[in-house]
Amino acid sequence: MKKIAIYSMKGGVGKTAAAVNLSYLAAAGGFNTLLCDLDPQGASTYYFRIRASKNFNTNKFIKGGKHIDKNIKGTDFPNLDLLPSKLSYRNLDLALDALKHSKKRLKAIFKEVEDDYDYLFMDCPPGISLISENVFNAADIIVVPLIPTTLSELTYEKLLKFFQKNDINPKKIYTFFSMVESRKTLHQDTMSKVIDEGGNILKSLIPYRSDVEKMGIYREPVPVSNPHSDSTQAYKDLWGEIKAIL
Amino acid sequence: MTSPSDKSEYYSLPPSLDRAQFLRKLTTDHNFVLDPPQKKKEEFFDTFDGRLRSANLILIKERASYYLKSLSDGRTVEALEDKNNINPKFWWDFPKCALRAGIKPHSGIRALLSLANIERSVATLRLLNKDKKTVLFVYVKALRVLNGDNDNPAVVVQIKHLRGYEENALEFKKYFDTLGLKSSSGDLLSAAVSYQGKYPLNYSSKINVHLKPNMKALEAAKLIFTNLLETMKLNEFGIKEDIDTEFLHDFRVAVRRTRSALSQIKSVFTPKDTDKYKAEFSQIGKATNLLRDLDVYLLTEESYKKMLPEDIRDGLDPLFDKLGKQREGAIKDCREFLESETYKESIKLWEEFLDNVESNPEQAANCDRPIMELAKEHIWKKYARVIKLGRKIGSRTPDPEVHALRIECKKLRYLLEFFASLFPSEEMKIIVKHLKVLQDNLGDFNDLYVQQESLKEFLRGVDIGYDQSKQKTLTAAGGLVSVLYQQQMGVRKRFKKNFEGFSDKETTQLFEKLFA
Repeated sequence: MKKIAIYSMKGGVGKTAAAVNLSYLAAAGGFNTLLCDLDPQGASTYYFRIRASKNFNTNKFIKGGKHIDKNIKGTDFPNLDLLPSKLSYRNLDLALDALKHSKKRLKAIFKEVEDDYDYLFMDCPPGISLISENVFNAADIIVVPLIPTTLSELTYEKLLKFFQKNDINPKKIYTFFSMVESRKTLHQDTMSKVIDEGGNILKSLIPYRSDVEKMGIYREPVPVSNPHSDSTQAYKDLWGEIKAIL
Repeated sequence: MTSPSDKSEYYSLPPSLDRAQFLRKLTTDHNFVLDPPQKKKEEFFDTFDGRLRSANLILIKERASYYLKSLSDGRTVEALEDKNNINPKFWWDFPKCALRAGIKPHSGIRALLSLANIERSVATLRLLNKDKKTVLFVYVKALRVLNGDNDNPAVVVQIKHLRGYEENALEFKKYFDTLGLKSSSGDLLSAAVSYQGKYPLNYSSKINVHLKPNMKALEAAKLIFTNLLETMKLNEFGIKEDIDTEFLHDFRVAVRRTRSALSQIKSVFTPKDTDKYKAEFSQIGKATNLLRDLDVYLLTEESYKKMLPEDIRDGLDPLFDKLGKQREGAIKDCREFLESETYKESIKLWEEFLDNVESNPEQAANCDRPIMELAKEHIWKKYARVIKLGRKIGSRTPDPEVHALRIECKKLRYLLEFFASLFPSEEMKIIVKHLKVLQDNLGDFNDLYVQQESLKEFLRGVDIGYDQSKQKTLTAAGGLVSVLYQQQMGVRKRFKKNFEGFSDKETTQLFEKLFA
């Protein structure tokens, strides 16, 4: 099972859209795929019209084992399952902190489903916390959406520094440009600058489009609601690139 | 790989309910969304002897794509988009891909035949909850064989559970019970291939008769011969259409078994009849010898070339070109033979003879004896003969004596096959396994000898000049002769060990228990 984290320190960068659409495309390619919604806001869970069981909570999640197995839900789409998030995940950091090996807990939890899936996607909460560190340790690659603005660029630099300081391999990080408006010179300039600085920059750009914005209304992945749009094509290209890296 | 979310159960409709009624009932009784039914045309492929089916697989062409699917649950195992309209006949006609690799170990040297064209219609019903989330899928699938004898579609209802929504499926199964639906073994694919299409679906080159110990020898012999004749007839079209080499092979094995049974199951027919039909089948065998020999040579091309250094491999091309040309003539002759009055008359006579043999006033000595008695007697005698000849073979035994043992082993093998249904199958399997190892050893020895001889024969025919390409051919063929000789010596060395496996205590005791 290959583990892909969709992560950004900053919120509102198209993280959940990427997690939902990429996991959908992986499953549509015939691979058994699990999307794990780690964000207490539960946007991925909502997009798939799923509600977590009443009994499910943070403690059960970090206990892992049969609690994970029992709470995975099938989506409407073949080969794609989801482990829904709960609002109580806002305490995930505290709960993890109380444990031994608190930075590697997530990796252990996912062992439970190792044989069931080809791909695991993690939709991560923004910020940099103990849960993020768990994600960094568990993931094979960390895919970071980046809006090509100065502010985003700065948070990206911070992330790289954090990796160096905490001895996590920065080569796991792959960046793609998200919500790109190609007419804006700022976007063009920032993209060139980031590319010049090196690192793993994916070639596929996700454009700023209304069909992605409207995912919350349709509550469907973009390749389902709008199969022929250029956003769909962009996500397909992006998934092709990521799949080739794994 | 089966996803945990893909658990499915299958049902068949009761006779009182047709597909349209069932769909109406579902949508009125429950909150289902009916997606428009999708119709697909599919072409099913397998080898004549159903090699994919026996591995729970089927090859399907749909539009411009090929799918290797699991028969029991309909899952796609491998897929290939056919951009170049390849129209494949053998696995090697596919471009290198996972689908080709998935077919190769099963189909081997057999051609993939189009079994049937099928129209598949799938109606998808989705049960929604208050969030408009699908909590259960119901697929109503119908398959109709196009241009087949049976125009009624086969219908299967599939319930797909969604992980985390199992209680919805449980509730629904109760509802299905009230409608009288019966649970069915699997996906429609297996139902579809059981439709009689162009070819029989249970073909096997193995002897398929069920003898009873007290059966009269004449009756048992009739069953065996009729089964062999059936096999011959089933393979005729494949030889004439030159579909693959195995049609002729299976045909010839049936001819040889018939001849062997005529000689070995003694005195069930009168000597006059026995001799007459032995001669007829000998003629049929002879008429197909050349084509089979050429097939065998041509099938060795790849392995022969692999034995040689790469730079001289194409030196063998003139040899294989020559064989290929000879084969063109041989297939034509063989086809003509099978269509000739001589052949048709032989088969007709034999068939009539078998039909009337029991009412023939002239009866042979053994015809009323119980078949069990005869079977034991013949097998035991042949076994003793094989053991006696085998013990004499050492590293310096001349080739003809090895050849004689090979023939005796073959006869024993045929006897075991004719009478297999009279004995416990597990024990017969052990005996045949050991005998097969010995036969392979002797067969390899013989093949390697014959191949060397024919290469030498070919070399004698090459006009030696100063032509560079001829030099290469001489080098390659000469090199091959020595490799084959080395291999033959290796086979002879292994004989002792292979024979010991057959003549050891365990096998001897088994033979004594079953046949003495």
